[in-house]
Amino acid sequence: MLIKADVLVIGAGGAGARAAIEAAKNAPDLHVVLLNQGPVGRSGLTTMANGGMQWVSHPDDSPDAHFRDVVRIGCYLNDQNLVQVMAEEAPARAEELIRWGAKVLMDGDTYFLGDPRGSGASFPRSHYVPGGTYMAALRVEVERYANVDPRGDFVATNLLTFEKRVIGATALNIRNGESVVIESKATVLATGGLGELFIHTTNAPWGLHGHASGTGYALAYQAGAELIDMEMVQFTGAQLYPPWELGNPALLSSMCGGKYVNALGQEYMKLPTPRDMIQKLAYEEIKAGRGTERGGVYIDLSVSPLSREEMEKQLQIALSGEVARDRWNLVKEMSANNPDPRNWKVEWAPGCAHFFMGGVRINERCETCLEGFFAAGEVAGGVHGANRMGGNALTDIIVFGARAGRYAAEFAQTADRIEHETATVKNEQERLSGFFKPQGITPKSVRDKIRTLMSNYMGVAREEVGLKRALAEIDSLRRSDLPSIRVPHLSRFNVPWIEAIEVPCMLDVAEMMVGSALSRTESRGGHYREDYPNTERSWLKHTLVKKKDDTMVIGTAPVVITKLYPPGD
Amino acid sequence: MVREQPILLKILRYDPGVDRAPTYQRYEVPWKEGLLLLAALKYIRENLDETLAFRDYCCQCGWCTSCMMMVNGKGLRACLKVLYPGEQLMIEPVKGFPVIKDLVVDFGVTLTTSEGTFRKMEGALIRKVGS
Repeated sequence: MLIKADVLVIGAGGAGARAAIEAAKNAPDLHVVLLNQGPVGRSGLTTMANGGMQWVSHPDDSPDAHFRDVVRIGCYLNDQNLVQVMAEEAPARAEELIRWGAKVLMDGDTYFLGDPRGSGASFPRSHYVPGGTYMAALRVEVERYANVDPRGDFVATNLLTFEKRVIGATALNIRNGESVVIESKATVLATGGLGELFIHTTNAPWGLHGHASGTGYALAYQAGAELIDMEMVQFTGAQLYPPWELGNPALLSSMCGGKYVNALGQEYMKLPTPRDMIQKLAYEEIKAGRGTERGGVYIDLSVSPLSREEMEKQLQIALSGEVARDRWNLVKEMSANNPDPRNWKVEWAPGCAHFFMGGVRINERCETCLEGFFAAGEVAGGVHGANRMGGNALTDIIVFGARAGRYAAEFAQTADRIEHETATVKNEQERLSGFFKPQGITPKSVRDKIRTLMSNYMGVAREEVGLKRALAEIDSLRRSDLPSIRVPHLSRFNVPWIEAIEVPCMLDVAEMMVGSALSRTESRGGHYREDYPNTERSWLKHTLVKKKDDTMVIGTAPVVITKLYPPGD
Repeated sequence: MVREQPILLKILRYDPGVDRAPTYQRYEVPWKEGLLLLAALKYIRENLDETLAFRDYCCQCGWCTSCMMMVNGKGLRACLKVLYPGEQLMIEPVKGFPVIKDLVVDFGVTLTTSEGTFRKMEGALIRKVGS
């Protein structure tokens, strides 16, 4: 099947949906195809967000303060042109989203603004817009445009290129197993993050596939795009006990007045502490033998000054901004034997992948180094530097989603559609059907090996020997396991087949990440090298990955600094 | 430690492109504290039957309703359904939509239509803050 699009948006989470809306609005004569791996507007990570979203609304706050906070917490590795755009455009994008129907937690007539200690912001700036209502508002808005063509249950398998230009993509229709070619004048990549490369991740808490398998980074890499800071993972706590999700440990502690204590009951850390340090300090506590039997530390809610009623209210907000009563009811049902949250000692371990700061290199128009190819949201790098400040992911995706849509539409209005080569598509189809064979190993077994090696060597703490071992293991998986992957010969909703398509992408992404981590011989933000524990002035630059003659080349690129220099400069 | 009673799931299987009629298949899933129906289905696909189809590309936290299915005849979200030791459940695709395979339906028009329609479908899922 051939679909002809003017603008192709891959991924219909917050960034992709927002891009499609903007493209359709700015150019009503363009045909905008919005491709998504699940039902459009009902899947992906945006719906899972627990609602913290920063934009300037407090009377003492300013976009400049927002800008400074993001750059400071990002350890100055942010491209400041991007941060400035985000801080300046966030209020307008947020107000617009609320007009479209997103619910925001109110405190009487004004916004409820979370405790700035949770994120480290200089002013109260975190609004609670639960991901479910955020995405519902975007979905409704997408529906309003007749020129948006939402295609649910499609997975993109490759980008089509012609010289230095992206001209479309190949995809698989998950519903019937049919191969699809989409020819597009402009293509927006909005495929989200890569948390699934680790054993513990908030992106797919139950280990389900496809939510953040990082395929977008691999598609961009294979097409020839540049990727920056591929070592910069933001980790959070993986909850070990109780076995039902209570929300981000940083939020839990700041909102419920809990304390960070080790297995000996000693308070080893106080807020505010940036997210990267929360991870590092917990890791050091456990390494020094002060961790629990399960290998974790605690957030002790019993020391909180809050009443049971107050704490339950805060927990509901931490879970999903109060409006998700269903989730709270679930927690209550599961904790029926010990219902008072003040008795809870939440046990957690560092190393749960939460967000990825690196990604496809973009400018403030969301353009990449390939013509007609734009990126927005988590798959794009440079906005959050080496560490993302809490509450800025939901902000990032609508600001840059809208920009990607606007500039992609602008490009598509004057560009030609270039016909794809049938041979390329035929090869791709053969590659995909090559997974049908009588004998072999499951894609899940390879996927699990990738996740294990990444958690072992690319977690909170990294060092040279481990990273080199990781590269060797990736190489061995590529040579020995990849060719043996087999899936059942079924056309409709063949989930192992989708997993098999994801695995080679995951290997590409893992290699980019480990290679970048090995090259950055310093510690900064989410990248902590035990063998290079200091932050080096000379490393105030991006790592940069690019494909050259079918080989992965890792270099560096300057950081865009417009006005804020690290202290001491 | 006493071994808890496993969960018994009787699941409707149907591939409209291949099967003449739907059939039911029984699976036994070991119980553990905090087990939810969606996780039990994942267990089946990873350990017992790789061909079982259900919508797993979903929010996993009660928002998106992609995992709606009939549980003992009642429409529920699998990600919010707590399982108890020894429970026996009949699992079928959510009523009112064409079946793509097994528990996966085509929400089709409902997903890509007016605000009113999906709000009706989601019902209590979207509430006003504070209400």
